[in-house]
Amino acid sequence: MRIIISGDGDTGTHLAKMLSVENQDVILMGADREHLAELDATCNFMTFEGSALSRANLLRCGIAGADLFVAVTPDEKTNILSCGMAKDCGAGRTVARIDTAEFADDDSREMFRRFGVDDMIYPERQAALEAVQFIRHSWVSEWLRIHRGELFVIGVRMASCGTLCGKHLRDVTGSPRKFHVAAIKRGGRIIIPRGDDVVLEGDTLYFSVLPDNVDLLPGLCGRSVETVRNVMISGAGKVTETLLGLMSRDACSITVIDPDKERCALIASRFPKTVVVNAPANDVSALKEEGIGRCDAFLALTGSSETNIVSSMVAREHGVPNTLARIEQLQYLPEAESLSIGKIVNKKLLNAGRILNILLDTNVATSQCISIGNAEICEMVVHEGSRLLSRPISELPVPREITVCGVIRDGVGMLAEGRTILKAADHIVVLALAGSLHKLEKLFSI
Amino acid sequence: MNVRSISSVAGTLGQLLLIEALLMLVPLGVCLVYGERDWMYFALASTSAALTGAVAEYATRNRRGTIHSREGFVITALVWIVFGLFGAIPLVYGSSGLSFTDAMFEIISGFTTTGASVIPDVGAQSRGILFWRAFAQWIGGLGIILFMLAVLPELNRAAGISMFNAEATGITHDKLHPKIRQTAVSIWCIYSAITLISIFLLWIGPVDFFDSVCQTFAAVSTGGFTTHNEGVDYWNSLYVLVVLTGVMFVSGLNFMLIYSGCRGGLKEFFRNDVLRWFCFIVAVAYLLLLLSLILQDEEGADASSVIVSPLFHIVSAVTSTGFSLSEAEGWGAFSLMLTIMLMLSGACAGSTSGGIKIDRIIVLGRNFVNEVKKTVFPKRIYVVSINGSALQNSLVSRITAFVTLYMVIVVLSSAIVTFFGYGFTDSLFMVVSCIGCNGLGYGATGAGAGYAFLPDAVKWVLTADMLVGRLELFTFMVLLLPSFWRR
Repeated sequence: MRIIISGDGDTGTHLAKMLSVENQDVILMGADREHLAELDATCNFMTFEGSALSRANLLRCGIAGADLFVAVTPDEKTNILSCGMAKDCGAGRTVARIDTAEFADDDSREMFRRFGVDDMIYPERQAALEAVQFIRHSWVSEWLRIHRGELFVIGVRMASCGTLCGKHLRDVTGSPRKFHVAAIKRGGRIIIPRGDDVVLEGDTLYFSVLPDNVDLLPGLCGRSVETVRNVMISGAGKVTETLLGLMSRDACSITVIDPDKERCALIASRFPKTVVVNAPANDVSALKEEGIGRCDAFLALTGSSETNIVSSMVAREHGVPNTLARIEQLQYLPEAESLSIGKIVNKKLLNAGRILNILLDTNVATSQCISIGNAEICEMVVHEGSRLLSRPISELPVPREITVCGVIRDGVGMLAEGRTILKAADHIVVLALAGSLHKLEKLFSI
Repeated sequence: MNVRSISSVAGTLGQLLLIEALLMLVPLGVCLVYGERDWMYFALASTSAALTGAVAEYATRNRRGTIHSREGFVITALVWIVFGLFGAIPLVYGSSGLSFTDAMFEIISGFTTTGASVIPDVGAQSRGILFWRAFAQWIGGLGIILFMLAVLPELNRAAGISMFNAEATGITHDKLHPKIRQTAVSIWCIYSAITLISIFLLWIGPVDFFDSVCQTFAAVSTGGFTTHNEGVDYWNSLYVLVVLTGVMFVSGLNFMLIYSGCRGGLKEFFRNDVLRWFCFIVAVAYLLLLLSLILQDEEGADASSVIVSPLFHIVSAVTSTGFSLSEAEGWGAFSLMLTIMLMLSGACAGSTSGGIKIDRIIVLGRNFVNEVKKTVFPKRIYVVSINGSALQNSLVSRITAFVTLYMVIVVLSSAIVTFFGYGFTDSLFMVVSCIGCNGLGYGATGAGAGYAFLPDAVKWVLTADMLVGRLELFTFMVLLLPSFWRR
């Protein structure tokens, strides 16, 4: 597929790299000449210096033959306008990154669709959703609800007291199986495990489980389930604002701390139940005064990754069991994971998942796609006539980089066994390592 | 360099060697068709390349790291040497019976499309050997790595880009398509199309099929190996000269430009700065040479050959093909000087030719003009632009460094050659000819003798010059930096 990305910032660059690894034809448009020259010399995609707000530039990039146009410049108006122009010039599908909550409403979406913007990504909302999930299920680091809760893919960090720790995987899966270990994240790499792999402390295990068996997991991984009642959030930006909106009915008390007086005043007026403190996040005495010791969860959501990392560690020092940090620098992610920060939110990865979803959706039917770093979890639909039918899963030509997590048949979730035979209209949940998306597409195409 | 990098370099080289093993099956087939005994030595070379490749690939399969630009440089530089080592086997053991030094010189001269030959009696060689020399030029013409990018899908990722950048010629390395493999395939399509047309045109003329293929490979890759002792004089035909001149000229153009020209952008095609300057240089050089010949007033020459031969010579020199005409040696001092200047310049970047490349010379010239203007109007801002887009200062200084380094290598190499007792003109000529991947000879290396009777040390210096010139200096030069190898 031919994909044109406008915006050579971190998000655009990450997207272009990721999509070129997935063997797509990518052209990155941007304004930073030196950055583009560097990318052009090291990456397997083309770069173009020039604004996407120009018909001539768009046409020169071959917009007429493009299947997807993604606008991820920092300015949402530029994104929306350039999507409209791209659509007008013949782009197949357009996606704009926005940062105004109202634009993501259904009514506005319809209006924007007429205007030429097919999809919108609103990373702040996705980050807020992640944070909400973290507050509700604080013992997990990844919580994916698939097909309205018929199946869950849950990532949990292994603690030393977990019953799985130190065991071979083939020794732990009893019959009938109650869970399936789809992948292990170890030291920033994702492994698709086999029977002889050993679970180590500090691994993140990705389980696929049926809703009834979710309660098993905390014991297996040595995590305790606590209800979070007191939350402290550092940073009063858009993510926090969206989060507070989403949490308005939850019965937990939230303290927001931010150095910007005006933002504090705005949050305080919009969410009267919330305690808002005007102090910098690294002011330890203020944190103590506001009772950081009593908090069950600390969420660092400021725009600065470094501040977030440090303040999460400070919270950890003061005994907060659950910490979440928003980290925008992708290169910090492996380091941050080893710093015992409970969960990391990265808007780029969230964006990437959305884009992959849109990308896959144009070729094969998918309903969901989530990026978890170096791998994607996708829900795919098996069509009549597919070569996946009428053979047990263990005999299917599934590449090594792809593993089947579970199947949803007639709206009911089940774990995938080697002898399961797929039927048409089944939804299959698969985990695919980065770079294998085209194989996944091939597998599911007819 | 740690174990992982070395493994990935060795592994990739192994894969490339496997492809070379396959490529050597082609001359093997030629031997079988003509019933020559040399097929055994091609089989030997192919098998040893395949075995070495397979061992390198297998032994490193679990230890390879990712290929960054550093590993890309090493792979690209080494692949030219490794290909030479295995490609030389048939020349050493086969019917030509060359020494190791001669065989390396000959095959590197082929892969780098220099076309300087150490075989005094080309006519006595087996067809298999002749074909292998021609075929080596054809593979090396666009670059071994570019060929591999087109055939090995595994290189279609960031690793392939770093190797492409280490090999591609010119100032900036543009891409035709988002994916490097598509770019490589498009360029190869253009290359193959020119090749087929040229084979056909020669074949319907006085040239037999085998010679058409070999001569075409030499012309389209701007190599210059011939299959007869008399060179292109063998056919004594104006038609052949005209066709070859055309093919060489086209092969001296930027293949990316030809590609976009073929896709309908003829206007852009003719608006290209480099193309215009290339035509201009060829035209001026031709007129000057013609004028000098008329002033010399040669007797007995027929008009048509007087008009065509100088053009053939000029195009052969500027595109770094190095097909030589026996009469050219008698054209005098001005012709000699002109030839050296054209060999230094070379044709357009992104073509199969060698030399400094016209793109760089344009930039240098414009920069020079700007510097002169600046002394008069110090407060004005001047930019160096090529094809309408401004170049960054860092690129201009890189080009200046390139040309300086190029001239330094020419001077040093010539000094080494004069050490062995060769005259200044002869030494300079052979060095400029080899570093520009040209292959023309003059004086000591001129008609008849060729490069055969040079001492071994000189041959090795010239072989190194060919490699350094083909990979445009920097790819080899970085290998000499101690800090390149440190972690």
